[in-house]
Amino acid sequence: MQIQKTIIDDFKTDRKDILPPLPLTGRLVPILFYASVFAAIVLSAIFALQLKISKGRIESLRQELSETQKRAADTKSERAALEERILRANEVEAWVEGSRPLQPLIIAITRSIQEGSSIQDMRLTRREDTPEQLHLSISIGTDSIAQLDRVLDAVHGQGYREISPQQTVNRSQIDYQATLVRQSANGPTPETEPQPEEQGKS
Amino acid sequence: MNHKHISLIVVAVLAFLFIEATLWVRGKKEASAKAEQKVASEESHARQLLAIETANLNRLQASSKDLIAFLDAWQPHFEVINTPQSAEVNFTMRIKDGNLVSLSQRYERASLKAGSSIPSSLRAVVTFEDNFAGLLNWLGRLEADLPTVRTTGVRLGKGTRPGDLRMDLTVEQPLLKQ
Repeated sequence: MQIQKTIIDDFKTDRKDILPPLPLTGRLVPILFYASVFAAIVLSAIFALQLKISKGRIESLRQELSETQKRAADTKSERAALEERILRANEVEAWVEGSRPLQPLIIAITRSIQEGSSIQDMRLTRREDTPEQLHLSISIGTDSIAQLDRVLDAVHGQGYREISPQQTVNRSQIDYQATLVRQSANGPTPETEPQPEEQGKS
Repeated sequence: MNHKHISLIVVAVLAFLFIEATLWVRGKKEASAKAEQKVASEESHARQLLAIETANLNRLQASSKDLIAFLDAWQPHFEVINTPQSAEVNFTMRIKDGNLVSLSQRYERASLKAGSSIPSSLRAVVTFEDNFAGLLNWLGRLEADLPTVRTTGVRLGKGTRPGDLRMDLTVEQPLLKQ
């Protein structure tokens, strides 16, 4: 019996080696796959850990930054408040320096007047722009020129010195004018405690 | 293309995706590191500013210690009388209490340096005629009790009556900024 060739061929099963083999580079692909999977897992784990640590640090640094900025702002505002107080203190000091009592100076001058001499007129005025300086203008009725020296000694005794003095001596009168400035730089101190207002006092 | 080729492509794509995913995580980590560096730099800068501010404040506190003590000592004296009305009443009462003969009294509000802590004052211009001791003692008490009061002008001359003294006095009561 003769069997046709084509029919026999139809019963043949496919053979694996019929497919062409993969090229050499193609065989590397599975190796690359396993390597990449391993490397990806390891490296991703490391990077994720580093990312987590970094985010934690950022959070911590942001908190520190916020606290530091707050402290800097507080310090700045404290300094601004202090500067304002210093400015106020300077203005208060300037006022106080220009408000030294005049009564002791007046008394010292009047006590320096000897018998036979008299004060005809005396003016003590503060300059508006430099209130710590005094302008003294005095007319003394006297026969002795030494009387003026005694007055000036009394002025010096109160811690003042005269600048730009001008004097006119008539027959029995000395007219004297000068600007008085403090000799010592010590600031005044309040001698009394502040008292309440005397509004309700009868 | 047979199934081997398809398998290769699938495996290659998977490998590529794994690599891409790793690179993405690395990119995120690097971005985070850069952000950390930036925040650290800002924090360092803020610390430097704080150190400078603190040093400035300490220096200012040290240099102004005496001045601030001066202010603390004097401020209560300025705050005792802080309205023109109370200042005027205070002067009037003191003149009355002194039993002095006053020929005239005038009170006026004086403007000082605008914007300062002491922007204005109440100026009292008073003319007395009394005995020397009474007048000078009264002035001494006024200056001692109210050390912030500024005696801006005194003129002493003979009074109309024998033994009396005429005193033209100008004093200013500072009024603090409210």
